[in-house]
Amino acid sequence: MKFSAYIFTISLVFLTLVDVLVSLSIGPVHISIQEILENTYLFLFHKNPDWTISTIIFYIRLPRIALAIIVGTILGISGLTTQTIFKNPLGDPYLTGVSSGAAVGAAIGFLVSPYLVPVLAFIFAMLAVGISFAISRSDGEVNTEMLILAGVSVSFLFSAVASYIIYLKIANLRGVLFWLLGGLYGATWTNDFWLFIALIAIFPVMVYFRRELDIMLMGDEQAKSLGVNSGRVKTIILLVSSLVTSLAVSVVGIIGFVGLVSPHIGRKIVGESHRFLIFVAPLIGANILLVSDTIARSAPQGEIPVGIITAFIGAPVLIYLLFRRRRM
Amino acid sequence: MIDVTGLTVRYGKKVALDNLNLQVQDGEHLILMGPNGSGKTTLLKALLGLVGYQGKISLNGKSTANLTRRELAREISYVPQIFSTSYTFTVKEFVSMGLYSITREWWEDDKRIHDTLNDVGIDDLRDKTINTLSGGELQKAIIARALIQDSKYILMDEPTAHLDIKSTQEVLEVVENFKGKGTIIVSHDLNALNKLGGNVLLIKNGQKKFKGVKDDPEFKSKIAETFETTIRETGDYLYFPLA
Repeated sequence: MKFSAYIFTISLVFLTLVDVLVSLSIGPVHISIQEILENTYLFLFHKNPDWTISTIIFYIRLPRIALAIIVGTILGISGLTTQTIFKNPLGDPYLTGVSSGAAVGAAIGFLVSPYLVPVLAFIFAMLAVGISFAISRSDGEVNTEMLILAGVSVSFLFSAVASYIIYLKIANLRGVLFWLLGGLYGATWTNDFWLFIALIAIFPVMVYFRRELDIMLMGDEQAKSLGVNSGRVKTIILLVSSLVTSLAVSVVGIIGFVGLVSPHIGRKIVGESHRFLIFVAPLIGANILLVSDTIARSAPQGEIPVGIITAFIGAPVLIYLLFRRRRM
Repeated sequence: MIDVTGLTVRYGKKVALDNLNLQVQDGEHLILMGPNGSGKTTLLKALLGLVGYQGKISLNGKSTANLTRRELAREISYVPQIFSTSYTFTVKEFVSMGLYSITREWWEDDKRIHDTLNDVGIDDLRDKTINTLSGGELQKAIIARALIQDSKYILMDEPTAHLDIKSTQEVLEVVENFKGKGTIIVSHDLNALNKLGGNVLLIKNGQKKFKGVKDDPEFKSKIAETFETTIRETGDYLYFPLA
């Protein structure tokens, strides 16, 4: 298992690179792989590339591809750690109220000024998370059973507020709906840069705790008796994953299914242990979102929200995995 | 030595342990018996710091409340009641979790795991996944995980419950061979007492009713009283008559 897990992890990295190349070539202007490689070489070494193609590659498609990879990675790793800590296969990174909080912020943003949408989405996402955590603290620890229920309750409340605002106050329903279903159309190198910094900051934390995450699957009592300070690990991981997910959501909207399905696919291939899964689940997330976004932006009738595509890809995969599990 | 003084645990209004005093010597085998809901598991959980309590628990004079989880895990290990699991960790991966208090690394050197699996007689299962084990096999894997922790004390919660006769015999044999470890075993099973000997602690309604050896003349009347039934003896073999 160990050897094949190494091989699989490395092949996923290569698959990502292939996906990047393919995605670069697809769009209103078709660019062949050869042209991409040539122009990249010329562009990087200042040797007078074809500026039309270079602009499409480096200022339109690549920032967006980078965003898909970064956000997919964030959703994959947050989904994995959330599922582990809640010991719930239905866990996704939005469980603590991130998505509905962000929706309220975005709705207010659309009402006031579209430029405020990301900032307000982030602030309200963190607000919802904060309320959920505050409700579920007991004895200085996060009680995960309480947190699931608090997250669901807070989500309902914030969704109601968002629906109220959207239904009664907003004329541009299509715009809001697009945001709610997620889209990477807002990609810029600046956005990419800041999200990348956030990802770089949290990834080592998750990787550091992968041994603890394995043991915590056995439940709180066993983890503690084996020496794991599970209360502390839970709090750190949940806060970190909620924070980074909120950041991602504030840029791209609420993209469903990536965080839910990536860990499941990863587990089928490299097994339960986080030793490899902590790298594999985010890589799968990155690939799913990149492929989905490439489809979303090249739809014949114009761009469609990527959340629709991830659901169309994610749901059948999940159902397939459930069937396989039942037969086992 | 584990020294418990004035231990009280409450779950809401219910008093699970009521001002309990207890000493367990290094290397002592103690069988903890009592009716359902008498506070046996709660006592184990308090010793492991898994429930809040009033009173004092100290290990060789140091209060366990001041120890970190890892420090405590190096002193006391735990064999929880058997559980069902769908996780696909291999027996080797599962048992190596017991090494966490010693190292955070994934254990690459198999020798220690190999030796421990041999000690409990499941070395041939090391690459099987834990969701495919029988009850007896899983119980032995859990014991192996506690043994590899290399602690001075092992607490076991009903290690033979849900096991068939053969597995019960095998598990008790494993426990009998713990060398030099203080052991507290919660068990309803008089087989455990008959096989392992050692001291018996009877508790009921969170209070200590008896501590001593089973040959103590007082023991038979105390255990009958604690369980509100009669007890019989054939040779030196104790049993609760069912009819």
